[in-house]
Amino acid sequence: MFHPVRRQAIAGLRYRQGLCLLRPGRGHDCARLCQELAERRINLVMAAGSGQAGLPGDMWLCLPEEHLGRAWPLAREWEDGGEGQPEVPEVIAPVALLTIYPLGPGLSLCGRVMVGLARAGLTWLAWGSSLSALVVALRQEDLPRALPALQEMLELPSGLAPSHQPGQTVSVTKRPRS
Amino acid sequence: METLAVYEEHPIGTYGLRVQEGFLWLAAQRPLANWEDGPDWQALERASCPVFCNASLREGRMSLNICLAQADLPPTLEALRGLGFTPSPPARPVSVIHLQGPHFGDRHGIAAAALSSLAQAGVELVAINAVVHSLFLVVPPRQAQAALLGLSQAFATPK
Repeated sequence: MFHPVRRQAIAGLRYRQGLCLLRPGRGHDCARLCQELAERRINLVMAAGSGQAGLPGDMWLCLPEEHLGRAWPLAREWEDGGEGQPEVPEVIAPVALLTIYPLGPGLSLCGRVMVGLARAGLTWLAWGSSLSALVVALRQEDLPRALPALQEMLELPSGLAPSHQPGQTVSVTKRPRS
Repeated sequence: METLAVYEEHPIGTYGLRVQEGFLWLAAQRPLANWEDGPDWQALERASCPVFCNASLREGRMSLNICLAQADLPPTLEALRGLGFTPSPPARPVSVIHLQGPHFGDRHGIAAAALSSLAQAGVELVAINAVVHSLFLVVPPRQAQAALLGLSQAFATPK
């Protein structure tokens, strides 16, 4: 029996599909991997990492699944390199992202999202906050159950429903100064 | 859906580039089990609003990272410990650099430029957080100015 919960008011809940989550693993040069992905014009939809010393040793990257075929070999390129035993890279696909805003007080939104998903028997994969939103990565197959589960914890404005967010990619071309 | 935009970018344009001092970086871990009920997870409402936070799940354990003001550490630690989180290692002083710019999150190369410029400047990167249009970079306080200088090689601020 779960304790009843007062729902937290939110302004929006969007979802985006067709992504993947790539974790290069400790021991890998994540900066170099990001550079290699950028050179191949692969956008990182979301990324986070932290380490005890130096560049992020534990990093995860979210990118369009259509680019996984090109990104995966890069993540594995140094699997056997470096000192010690680098962790084997990990990839999860397909993945969906949920964008929920605004953040609200403290870590309340984070807690409600984690509890709401757990109560539905679902597991989130990673999440991160921007200035005003929380973005949660979960397995795409869990999305149909995740949306109603989160609406047990979060209240959208009357008449609004979770909305699909199409992917958008902006290509950048450097033009030499004239 | 693809939007083609042509940028004359020498370096990448931003809406501003500044460092904020006097923050803490807190990492905490907890097993995922029994999260759905039991612990007073609503205590997270009493935790202070962080600069940013992120989390990942691996092998049944949650790793939570929070960048927060020093004054907000006690209530945040109280809330996290009440939920079974173990802060490890102790919170460390950091400086935070926040970047936003046109189409951040929708275009390639932003995180790579940040990581590369900081590495070239010899700056230790404690953490990076790139979510929606926001890019947060966490560095040791003593390297904050070096980080700004390094980032200015890759990112431009409005004149």
